[in-house]
Parts: sequence; structure tokens; C-alpha cells
Amino acid sequence: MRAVNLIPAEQRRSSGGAAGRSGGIAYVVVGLLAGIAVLALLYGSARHSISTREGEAAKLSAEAAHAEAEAAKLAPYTRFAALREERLATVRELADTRFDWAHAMHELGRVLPSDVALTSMDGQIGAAAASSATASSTTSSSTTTASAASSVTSATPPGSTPVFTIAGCATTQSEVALAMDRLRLMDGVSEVSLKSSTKAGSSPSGPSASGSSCPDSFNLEIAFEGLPTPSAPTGGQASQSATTANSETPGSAESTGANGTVGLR
Amino acid sequence: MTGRDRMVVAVLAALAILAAGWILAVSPERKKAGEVESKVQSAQASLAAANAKLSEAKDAQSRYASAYATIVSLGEAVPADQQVPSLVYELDHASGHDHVEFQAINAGGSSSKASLSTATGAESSGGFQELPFTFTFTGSFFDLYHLMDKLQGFTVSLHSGGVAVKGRLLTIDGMSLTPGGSSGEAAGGSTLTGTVTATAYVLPTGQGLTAGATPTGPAGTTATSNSSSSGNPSAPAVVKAP
Repeated sequence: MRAVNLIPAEQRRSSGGAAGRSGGIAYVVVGLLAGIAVLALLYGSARHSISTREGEAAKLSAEAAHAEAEAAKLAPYTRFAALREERLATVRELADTRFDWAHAMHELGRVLPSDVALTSMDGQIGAAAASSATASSTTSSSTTTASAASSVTSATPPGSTPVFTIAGCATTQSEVALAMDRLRLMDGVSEVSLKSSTKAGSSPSGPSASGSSCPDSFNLEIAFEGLPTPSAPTGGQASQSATTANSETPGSAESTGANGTVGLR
Repeated sequence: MTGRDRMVVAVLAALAILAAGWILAVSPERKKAGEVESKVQSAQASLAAANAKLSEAKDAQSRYASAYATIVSLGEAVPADQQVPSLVYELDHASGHDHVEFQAINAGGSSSKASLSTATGAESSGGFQELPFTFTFTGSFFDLYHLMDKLQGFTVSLHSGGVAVKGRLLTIDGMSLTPGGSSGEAAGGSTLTGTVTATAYVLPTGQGLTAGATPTGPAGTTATSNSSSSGNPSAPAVVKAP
């Protein structure tokens, strides 16, 4: 015998499944309410954030404006400090790009053989080898000019090549060769080239012709390495004042200057 | 309409309501909140920049005395005007210490003996103006070597980044040594004549030594600004009496 359910289909408990009698509309309404609650929460959060951050932005802007105004009042000090840094850097660069003539002379006196004597010496700073260096040095009768290619234009810009032309006397030709060898030992020398070496009596225009006792007269040219590019001062150290720097002693030798300050090499 | 159809319509209606709420209310507010947030970040950046600027300015203010002293000291190396008398004094003083005779100084690098009162022909360079000179000294090789050391030692840079100033900044462009002194001494003695072509430097025209600053404050902060483009307080403009 087959069992028969006599309850009408629409009144059975499980007729709508989980939807129940409303057919699931109740769930939709609950979901809608939950969604609206979430939206309200997000809306409120955004409004709160806006009001809070707007106040914060206004406060920060006011503080920034105040700080700007304070800084503007002190701007002359900033400009003066910048001027100081600029001048200090310029003087440093000019000082650093110079050729050390005294050292070169010292080296010359150190390496020359004792049997060799100089009759004249002419030193000039030659034109810079680098294309960026625009200054050119000319002969001794004219001045050195330099264009304003960089922020600081030295009369002896980096890359310029110092050249010494020396004339002298030696006892023999071998002494001249020895002198050339020795001159190559000079600090910073890149090349030593012979222009002439004439034994006495071999040339009517030689030194012997003028009556001096010069067995062998020679002319040499000594080329030095190009002047270095100034190195940047160590971090934060450039702010050391020139006045206080007078008391420092980084060099190997010192001499007392005309006004009592200490000069350092 | 079946129950299933009603269910679909209800869900769609709920979704439409939620979407409308999102689009019309929540999303604009969130967008606005984002804009305000970026505004805050911008304000924070502005404040940080302003504070850094203020800090730098305060630092510059606290170091003003030192900066002023440095500027004045550098004015001895590179004065506001030509300051030829003080240069002559320095050269004479330096050569006297090294047993070197200071024979001549020619302005402009020419070989003629020009008047010392005007060093003409200052050439403008990138920063400072150049003043070419030719100096003539007599002395022994080693005396002249010591003199060259002194001439370039008037102003030297230090490893620490500072500059030691005790005289005019000079760049020696060339030098020639020839035998014999100026007083008719015969060639062959130990006396040499050294001719030095050098360049001194002057501050750009109109800049002034201290740019209008005084010991009490820079130009624009105090009513008194008597420092001007002329005068170098640390380099006496005098010539040593013969």
C-alpha cells in the first residue's frame, strides 16, 4: 500500500524549502538591511575621515605657512650663508687648481746632477689638453686669458700642462743624458725632451762663443702632468671657516706669514 | 508571477538599492576622503619643507658671526676692489723675509714699468675678475724658490675643506729665471732675475665684500648696513715706506 500525504501542498512545512512561506523575500530584506548598514558604516567612516583630515590639513597648512613666514624673515641669513659657501668654494677651487711652482723648483734642484748648471729657466702653464678647458696660456709677454666656461675660471684651469724650458751647461754630452734621466724623476713630470745639446766650439753661436766656460750647452723641455681637477671637500667640512682654518696644521711644513697667521703647504 | 520570479525581482531590487546607495552616497564620500588624504599628505610635505627651510635659516642665523668672519677673511684673499697697495706690501714683505729683492711689478702682465696706482685691464671671468700682473724679483735660486712658496702660500686650501688666508690669492701663470741681478751684476753669479706672471682676483663688480652685511646682521635684517663694496678691513691698503 502506498502512503499518501493528505496535507495540501501549499501548507506543507517543507513546501518552500529554506525560503519558508515568504518565498525567501525575508532573506532578501535582511540582506538589504545588512547592506544598507554596511553602506551607512562606510559613509559615516568616510565622513568622519573627511572632517578629521580636513582639520588636520588646515592645521598643517597653517603651520607650514607660519614656518615659511619665519624662514622668510631669516632669508637674509640663508642668502649670506650661501654667499659664504660660494666664495669659499670658489677660492678653494682656484687654490686647488694651481701648479705648485715651489715644489717643481725644489724638485729641479733635487734631481739635477752636480756637474750640470742652469743658465736660464722659463716655465709656462700650457693650454689645457681637455676640450672642456677653454683657457689658454700664451707667451710670457702676454697675459693668460680664460673664458667663463665654468662657474669658476682659473687662470690655470684644470688640465693645463705646465712646461719648463731650461737651458744649461754640462761637462759632457753624457752629463746631459744623465740630466734628462734625472729630470724624469721629478715629481709630476710626464715628459722630458731634448731641444739641443751643443758641444763648445761646434757652433759659433754657442755659449763658448760669448766667452763663458760651458763645455756643453743644452736646451731641454720638461712637461708636467696636467693640473688636477679640484676635489670636493670632505662632507660637511667645507663649512669650516677660513678664519678658524688658519689654526689647523695638516701640512708638512709651516711658515709664519706677514700678519702672524700660519700658512700651510 | 511565480514565487521564484518574485524572489529574483526582490534580489534585483535590493541590489539596485545597495548600488544606488554606494554610487550616490558612499563612493563620493570615499573619493572625497581620498582627496582630503592627499591634501593632508601635501600639507605634510609642505610643512616638512618649510620646517627644513626654517631649520636651515636658523642654523644660518646661529652661524652668522662665523660666516661673516669667513667672508671678511676671504676678502683678504679676494678683495672687493683691486687693492694694489696691499698686494705690493705683501710682496715686499714676503720678498724681504727671503733675501729677495722685489724689483718691479707691472699691471696687466706687460713688461713695461707701469704705474702701480692703477692695475687696469681686469678681465671678467666666471666668478671673480682677474687682475694679471708681472713681478720681477732678484735673488738666488733657493731664495726665489722660497718666495714662490710664499706667494702661493698666501691663500691655500686645507684638507679639512677650509681655506687658510694670510694674503692675496695668486695664481702663478708663468715664471722665468735668468742669470744676473738688476744692479749690473754679471751673469754667472748666484743672483738670478725671476720674472713671474701671476693673476690676482677681485670680487665681481657690485657684489661688495660683505654684500651689505654688517657684523650684527646681513642686509635686509638690520637698518644699518654701512658695509659697502669698498674697503677690506683685514688687508691694510698701505705701502711699506722705503
